[in-house]
Amino acid sequence: MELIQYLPQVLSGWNLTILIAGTVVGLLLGATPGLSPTMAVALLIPFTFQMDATSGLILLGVLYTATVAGGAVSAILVNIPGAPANIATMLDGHPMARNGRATEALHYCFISSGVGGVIGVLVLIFFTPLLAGFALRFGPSELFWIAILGITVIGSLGSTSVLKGLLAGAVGVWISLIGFNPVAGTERFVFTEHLQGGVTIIPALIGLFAIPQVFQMVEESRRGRGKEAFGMEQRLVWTSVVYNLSKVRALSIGSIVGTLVGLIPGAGGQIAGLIAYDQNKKFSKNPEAFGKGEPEGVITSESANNSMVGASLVPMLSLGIPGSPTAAVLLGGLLIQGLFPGPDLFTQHASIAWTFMGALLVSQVLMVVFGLYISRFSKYVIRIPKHHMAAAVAVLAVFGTYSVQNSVSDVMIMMTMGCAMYFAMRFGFGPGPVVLGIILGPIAETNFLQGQMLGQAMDGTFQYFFTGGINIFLVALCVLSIGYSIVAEFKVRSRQRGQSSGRTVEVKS
Amino acid sequence: MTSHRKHRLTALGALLVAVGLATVSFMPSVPGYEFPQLAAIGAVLCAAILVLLALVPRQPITTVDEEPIPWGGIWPLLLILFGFLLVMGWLGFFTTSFLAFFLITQIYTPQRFSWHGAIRGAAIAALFLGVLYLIFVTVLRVQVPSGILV
Repeated sequence: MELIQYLPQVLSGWNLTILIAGTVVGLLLGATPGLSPTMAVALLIPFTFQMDATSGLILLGVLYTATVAGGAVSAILVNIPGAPANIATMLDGHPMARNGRATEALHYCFISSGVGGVIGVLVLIFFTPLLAGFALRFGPSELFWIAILGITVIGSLGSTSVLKGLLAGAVGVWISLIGFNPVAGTERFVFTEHLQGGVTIIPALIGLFAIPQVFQMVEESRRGRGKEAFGMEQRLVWTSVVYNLSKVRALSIGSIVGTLVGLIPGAGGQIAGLIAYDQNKKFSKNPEAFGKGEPEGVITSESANNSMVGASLVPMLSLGIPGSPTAAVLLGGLLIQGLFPGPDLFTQHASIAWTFMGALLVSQVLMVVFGLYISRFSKYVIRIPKHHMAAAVAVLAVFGTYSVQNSVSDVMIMMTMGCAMYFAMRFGFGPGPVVLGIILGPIAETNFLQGQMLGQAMDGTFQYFFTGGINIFLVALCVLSIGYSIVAEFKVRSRQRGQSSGRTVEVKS
Repeated sequence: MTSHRKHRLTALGALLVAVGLATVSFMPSVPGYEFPQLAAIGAVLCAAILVLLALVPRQPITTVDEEPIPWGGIWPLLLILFGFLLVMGWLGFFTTSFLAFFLITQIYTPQRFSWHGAIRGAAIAALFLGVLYLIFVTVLRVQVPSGILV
């Protein structure tokens, strides 16, 4: 099997150093309140330029895994999820810490993350080549619809409002088309000299994810949030390992739900954790203990979060549709290295693809080992004040953006997009759909133009794009994804109305 | 301003932006603008439905998810970021970063100003940028904007 063939490469000196350094840095970044996995990966993409494609991708992949697991530390100790994925962990992890069981909760978090993570990566290893092989049948029309599907799915799931998500996705696509007209070979939408090179992925990624976070961190710092912290009790790791592994149901529910949610493009880790938590609570003999410091709550949500990571890379590596916003950022990192998702990745760049997946598997083990070790020092990491974090992120954002092309214009684009995104976020628009639009826009346009030419040479453009089994299936999926999201939004809205009218009755009576 | 009114204004603002994108996409009469036109039409459609759902019923059907902008808290940061861009090319990246880091930590600290806190803030900024300089400029030879200072 290819994985075993490339395993020595994973464990070679330089790659192993990156794996260890990436795991430790990722755990610390994840543990820091306010630094989400998406932002951490986006901030570090520019620094992978100095590395070869394999090492760069390993670093980004390991960071993704470790930051998701590390995010549980602040969720447990200060009741602030390090990442949206850790919301479900907070529900029982924080009450455990308040009851004097902080170390125990952190142990369960890292052990369960490791178990879930291994299952997720195994799914990635076995399913991605199969799906990529199927993608060999895709021509320009199918690739065009795949890109549109990616935008509609993340567009509909990335924001609270479907329409706002789709609108943000369309604006992202439009922004990606600034710079160069591929047909006439002239400039397009270049309103200022700073836009002459177009809007490239790195400034967009860093700006959209990091700058709004800087604003949020300074806001929270002014409000003085994140003061509550707990002492850490002494506990043997082995005791936690035995107890954790005995909770087979919680681990299974978490891993299965996390994997399934990860495979659905755009669903994101926070949904995986919450769904798994809810399912385990329903199956539990003692559901009333959940939310009051039940270890099974932490075990389920953390195994779900980390099994989602590997699974979310399946559609990304095989079809180019990211399974989560962080996977979308990773897709950007992949494209920047000159690698394209799909079958070619497993034929022409097999060494990179298999070493990357092998490294993700090894990183799960490293994450458990270092996570358990670091957990005893976690209380120091979470004490970093928000205003210091905000200042460091702002400086790193400028530094990272400039270092890619030594371009001040890139820094200006990053800053402008970041500030605009912060204001847009206050009006309910999310950065995920915009980023995905920027990444998938050029892919969609290239395939649209190629399809148009092929269509004109054949039966016509409309027939080319709207006939054929795969085309119809993909169009149906696009319609379904939008339709499902609209129905889901209306359900939430009607539930909110029901709750608010219920409250009114109570007040009147 | 009520939340419903803000929701409606958001929808109208989104429509204006989308119409603006459509206008600039349809203005040039040369080939190669078909895809931007499609994207702009998509944006206009979404925004138009958003406006309809927000304006036509007495209560908006879509989720009201707007939050107020805390201008009082963010304007110093906006000024610092804008100033960073202006001064970076003249002073140099590391000097400008030191100033920005120091200002952000001093303005947004929940504690009251004290000389002890200011010196501590300056030391943390210097340490952070020193590590950045050592790793990326000295070891990895990454280029940064240089000016009259570092």
